[in-house]
Formats: sequence, structure tokens, C-alpha cells
Amino acid sequence: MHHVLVKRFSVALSTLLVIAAFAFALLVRG
Amino acid sequence: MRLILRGTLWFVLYLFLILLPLATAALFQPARLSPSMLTEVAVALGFIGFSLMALEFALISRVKTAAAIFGDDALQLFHNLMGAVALGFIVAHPMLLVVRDYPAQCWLNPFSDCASRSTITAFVALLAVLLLVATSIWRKQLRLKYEIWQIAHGLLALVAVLGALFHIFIMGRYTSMPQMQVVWGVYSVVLIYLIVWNRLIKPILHWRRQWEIVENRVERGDSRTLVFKPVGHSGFDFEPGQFAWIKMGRSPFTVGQHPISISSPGDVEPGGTVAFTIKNLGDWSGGRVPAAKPGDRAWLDGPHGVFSSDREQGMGYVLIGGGVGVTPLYSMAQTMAQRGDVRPVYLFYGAKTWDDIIFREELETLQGRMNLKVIYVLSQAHEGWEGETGFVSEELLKRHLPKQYKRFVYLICGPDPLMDAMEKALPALGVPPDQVQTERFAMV
Repeated sequence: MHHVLVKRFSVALSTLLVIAAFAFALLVRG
Repeated sequence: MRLILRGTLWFVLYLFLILLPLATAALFQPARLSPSMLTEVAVALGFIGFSLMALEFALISRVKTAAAIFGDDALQLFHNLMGAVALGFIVAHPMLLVVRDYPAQCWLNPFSDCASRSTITAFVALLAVLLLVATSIWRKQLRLKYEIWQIAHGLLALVAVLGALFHIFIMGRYTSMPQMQVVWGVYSVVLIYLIVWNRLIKPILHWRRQWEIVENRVERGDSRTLVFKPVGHSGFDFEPGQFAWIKMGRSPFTVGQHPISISSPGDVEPGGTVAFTIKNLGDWSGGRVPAAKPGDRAWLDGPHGVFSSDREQGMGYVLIGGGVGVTPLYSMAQTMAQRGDVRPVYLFYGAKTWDDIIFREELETLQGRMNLKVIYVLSQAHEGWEGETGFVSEELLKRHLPKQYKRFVYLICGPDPLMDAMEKALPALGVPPDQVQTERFAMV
């Protein structure tokens, strides 16, 4: 697998996880 | 298509496990809410950081079904990248809490009067993660021996995850609910299973699969070839291009194992020998390998890897190698010659000097046995050298490849600059990406 793809994938996943953290806070705090 | 589906399933499982604590906490909220939104963001970042760190163990557990889809080197790179990402999440967790007026001196100084069990476990976990990532990024600059680093890496990872688990349980807000207790319990069990499997069960299983060194010969380019013979078992067959983890010592519990490409041809008969060619890069390859002698014991964990000419069929093959990265490609060429394969093979071989070309004589002989054309590319060519100079490039490939080159399969193995250059050159030449396979040999 191309390493550029792995790097891009990691960046996309990290962004998604940051969004998930904020979504969690919004959900919990209602 | 099936490969894409399987890859997607693995990714969904990975994402599910990362988000499991967060999703469970959101679904079954604790009785007492945290004081602010920012605190909840901090908690979420901490949970994600913990899950990422715990799953780092799984990424390097050599699960063959996952490695068959992504490739071992891609999984290793993903492990390295996600380790750094986990550090980011873990560091952001206390930083946000300090911003939200949590007393920094209690959390960052385990000796302060206000330090408690929860702050100390958090501090220990944070310190372990920082050391873990720093020693991995700067291992060579810190002059840490590979074997020492390997032990420290495992121990620090364990301290980090256990410290974080204790911290979560002592804090208690998200462990008071039975659902969350189940989640943390599952994580703990999986972690213990992975550690016990890798450090205890696997070496025990390997005990009966001992190998013996039968030859240690000097090669060009400051390299050596070690030939291993199975002792009391049938050994293994492999696809040309694959690699194995070599461990040399008195028992399979010996610390320090090294991923090395197999340089001998595939289609091994039961009980047949397997050879590995290793370049002297200091440490193990410069000390232990030259000292190895016939009769020495070793353990091979393999074969691993998806980088193989057997996995992609084309009307011809273009092999591009740099330095010792040529070893898996040499194994592929030998296997094709052995099988009487008549398809054209172009080997672009980048090396510093003429004397650095490993298997030079063998490749010359091989050119007479099969439809192979070797193009040597020297970065430090001697006076009078009439071949290619510099580095393998788009123009250089264009000069040597036949018209139908877009229907060939490309296999590339070498140092990062070569791999990066080829990842740009081949698309520019119009080679379809699904006909390109790569493997970076400096994966750990």
C-alpha cells in the first residue's frame, strides 16, 4: 500500500476523532 | 473487490473499538455531570487517546488476515503515525483541564501536597507515553541499541496503558456505570491476551521450530547472507518477496528480533534452507550477524508480507530496488528463473558504487537464464562508467522500458527517497496504481 495513502488516511482519521470528541461533549451536555 | 470489503471491515472494527468507550459513555451517562463542556471534550480526548494507545498493541501483533490486506510495512507505519496521534490526544486531555482551572501543580507534579492516586497514575501514564514516542522517533539520535529500545518500548507501552486504566478507575466518574465497567474490562482482557500471546505463547510455540545457521557468507555492499536450515521440522515455504523476523539466541524468549527479506528463491522443498541477506547498519547487523557461525541456533517467525511477484500477474515485471532493498527482488527473479518463466523482467538497481552492488555476479548469470535485463544506476560512479548515473527517475525508466510498460507489474523496495520518487514517477508515467506494489525496508 502506498505510504502517502496511509499518511492521508491517518490525518483523516485524526480529524474524524477530534470531531467525535466534540460531538460527545455536545451529546453529554445536551 | 473482496480485498476492499475485507479492508473496510477491519477499518470499521478498528474505528468501533476506538469509539466504543466514548459511545458507551454517551449512551449511558454518569449520574454526575462534569462542570463544563470543555471538561467533557477533555474527557473525550482522553478516552480516544487511551483507545488509540491500547490498539497500538493490536496493530503490530502480526495478525496475518489484516497484514494480507494492508501489508506489514503499511501497518507498521500506521502504528507509528497513530502512536504520535495518540500522544496528541493524551497531551491535549490535561491541557484542556488546566485551561478549565484544574490545578496544574497537582497533576503535573506527583510530589506536590495536593497530588493524589489519580493524579500520580495520570502523570506516570503521560510520562510513559512521552518517553515512548520520543524514544521511537529519536532512537538513532539517542544511540539506543535496538534490543534495549525494543524492551523499553514494550515496558513503557504497558506502563502507559495500565497507568491510564488505573487513572480512569480511580477517577471513577465513568467507571461507576456497569456498562462502562464491561467496556474497560473487555479492553483489559484483550490487552492481556495480546501481551500473553506475543510474549509467552508465541515463543513457546516457536520452541519446537528451531533453525540452525548453516552458512554465513560475505556479500558486496558491506552485507552478509545467512543461510538457515530447519531443525526437526519441515521449515516453511514462502512467496518470493516475503520476509521473516529473525531471532538469534539460546531460546525463542531471547530479546531482539529483526524483520529481514528472504533473498533465496521460493518454492522451497520441505526441510529446505532459507537465506537472508543483511546489510551492516551497526547494532545487530554489524555485531551479531558477522559473529554468527554455522551451528548457531535461531528462530524465524514467518513468512510475512504481501510484497510478492506471485500476488500480481502481469505480462512482465519491473523491479526497482535501492541498496539492500534488492534482496526480495533478487528472490523474485531467481524464483521466476527456477520456474522457467519467460515473461520479461526489468530490474532497476540503484547503488552507490559498482562495488556496492550485492549479487552482481549472480545477476549477470541470471540474465543468461531468463528474460531479465538489469539496469544499474550508480550515484557515485567511477571514472569510465558507461551505465546510468544518479538515481532511478521517471526519465530513466522511460529510456529503458518497452512500449507496453503500462501492462507490467511494478515492485519497488528500497530506502525512503527512492520510494517517494517512485510514488510520484509511476503515476506520472501512467502506470495504474493497482499494478504497483511497494515495501519500505526501514520499517522499524
